Amino acid sequence: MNKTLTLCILILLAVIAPFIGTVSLHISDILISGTLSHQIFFELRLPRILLAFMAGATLALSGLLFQSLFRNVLMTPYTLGISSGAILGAGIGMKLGLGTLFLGIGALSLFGFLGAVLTVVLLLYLSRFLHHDRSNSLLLLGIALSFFYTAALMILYYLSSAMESHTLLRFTMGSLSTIGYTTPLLVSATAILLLVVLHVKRYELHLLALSEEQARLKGIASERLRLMLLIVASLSIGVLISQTGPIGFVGLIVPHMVRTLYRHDVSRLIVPTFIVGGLFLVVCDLIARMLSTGSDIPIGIITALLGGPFFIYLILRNT
Amino acid sequence: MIIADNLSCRYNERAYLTKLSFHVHSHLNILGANGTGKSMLARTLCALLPYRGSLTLHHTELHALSSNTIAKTVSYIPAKLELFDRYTTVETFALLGRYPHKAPYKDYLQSDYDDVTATLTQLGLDTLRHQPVHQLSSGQQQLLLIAQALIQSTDIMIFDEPTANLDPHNSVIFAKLLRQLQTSHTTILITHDLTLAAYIQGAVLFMHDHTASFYDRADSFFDTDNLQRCYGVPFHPQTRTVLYE
Repeated sequence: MNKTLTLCILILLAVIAPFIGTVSLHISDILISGTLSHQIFFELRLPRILLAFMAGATLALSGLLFQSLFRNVLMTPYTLGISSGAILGAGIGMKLGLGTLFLGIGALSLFGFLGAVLTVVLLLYLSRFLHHDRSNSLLLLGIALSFFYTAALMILYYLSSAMESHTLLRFTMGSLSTIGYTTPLLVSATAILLLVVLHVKRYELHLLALSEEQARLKGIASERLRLMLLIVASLSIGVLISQTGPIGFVGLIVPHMVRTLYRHDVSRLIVPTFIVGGLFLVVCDLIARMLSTGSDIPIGIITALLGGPFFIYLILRNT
Repeated sequence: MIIADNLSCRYNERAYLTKLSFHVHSHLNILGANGTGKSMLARTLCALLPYRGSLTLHHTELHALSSNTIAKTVSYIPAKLELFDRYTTVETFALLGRYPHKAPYKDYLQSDYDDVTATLTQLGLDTLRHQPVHQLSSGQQQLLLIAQALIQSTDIMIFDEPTANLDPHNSVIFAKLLRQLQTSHTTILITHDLTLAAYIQGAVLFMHDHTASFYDRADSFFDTDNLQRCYGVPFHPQTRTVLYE
């Protein structure tokens, strides 16, 4: 009941999302090419909603993956320092003043991607030295890395001009604004890759989520599988963050929400997490666009403002 | 059939085993005080820990077997269940026993589900099949672990203190099940319950001082003087239970 109601509300809001924005559209004009309404609807609103959906889906799925792999509900791209890594990477890219590098990919995006992926590599390397209480230690490593990155970023801010600082700050806040379909399709490709890989490996992931020993006793090469899953996840997160900047909270809250709504084990949560994560961010983006007049409120602020209280409600209700 | 020859394994500087030689045809009881490496040996037997020396399952060295083959040959029933996931049900947990037999990238078959139903019914867990595993009592969880291992249908089954949380009724059911399994399987039982071990018979491996003494026949181990020598406490001559007086 709860599940159906939540899904219905989310879907309903997602369907009306493209019709709402700063400029009100003439519904009758939308399908007539050449009109302003047509242009706004197909070149701005739809790509933005596609991007929001795929971004939410990627963040939620990677949150579910990290939480299952390391058996800790606090694991997300954010808490593991992957998002901070991307921000620092983007900052370095900007400071180097490389501008557009190749194929129209900006230095900010490319270095943001590298920052995210290198952080995962670093975490994986460091986790090999962990023996006791691996999941909590890994989380602590992620948090320590976050602090380190943030401090390094502060130095970059300190050394930057006002203009550079502003560019970097906007990247840090995360944004879903996009024109045309290049970015949404790129993010869709990696989101769907992540979905397919996790769906194919759902039973293995379930065994890993139960315990390392259970997985190995059933003949799963757990180290290799974990590495493969993390590579796919960091690729999709890296691509996403390089395009939108970091968007917090979705990776933490959506898997938790889906778990309490569906009450299934991880092998049956992958598709629901993808859908709910996508819809959740579309709705957050809708609210961001409804609240602001003129310029966008950065999406990360809305996810945290909305998600925070809701998350507290979920935790309290569950205990 | 398991043959270990001059086997050593280690977990860390303090926990290691050396110079173990034994063979298991139908049943082996692994006995010994706390912290003598019984579970470590069990983990080595299912390739969770590296080893040196020789260890063969059905005449093939364990090293040479693929992890999937091992999973189809040996099952290990741990003393306790650790669960992160709160929403795994009894049925889905039991079904994971079929994982090693499942074709890659395919779903479970109807026969797998039938297997689960039959085994859960056999162990009296069928009424709990849609319950989350973490809501079960520790005794029920232990029965469920046994059910999963039965569903895994391996030739070799290693039980690590299976009766520690079972009530007397279920302990008797388990003891009978183990005797029944012995006719078609190679079973290993780690236990502190000497009455159970004596009832099951088979061979005995007594762990002490980072190594173990092997008794081909249970009778030679369950001699009252030998028991007293091994455990350092007096035993009742007929029942072989510890005398508390």
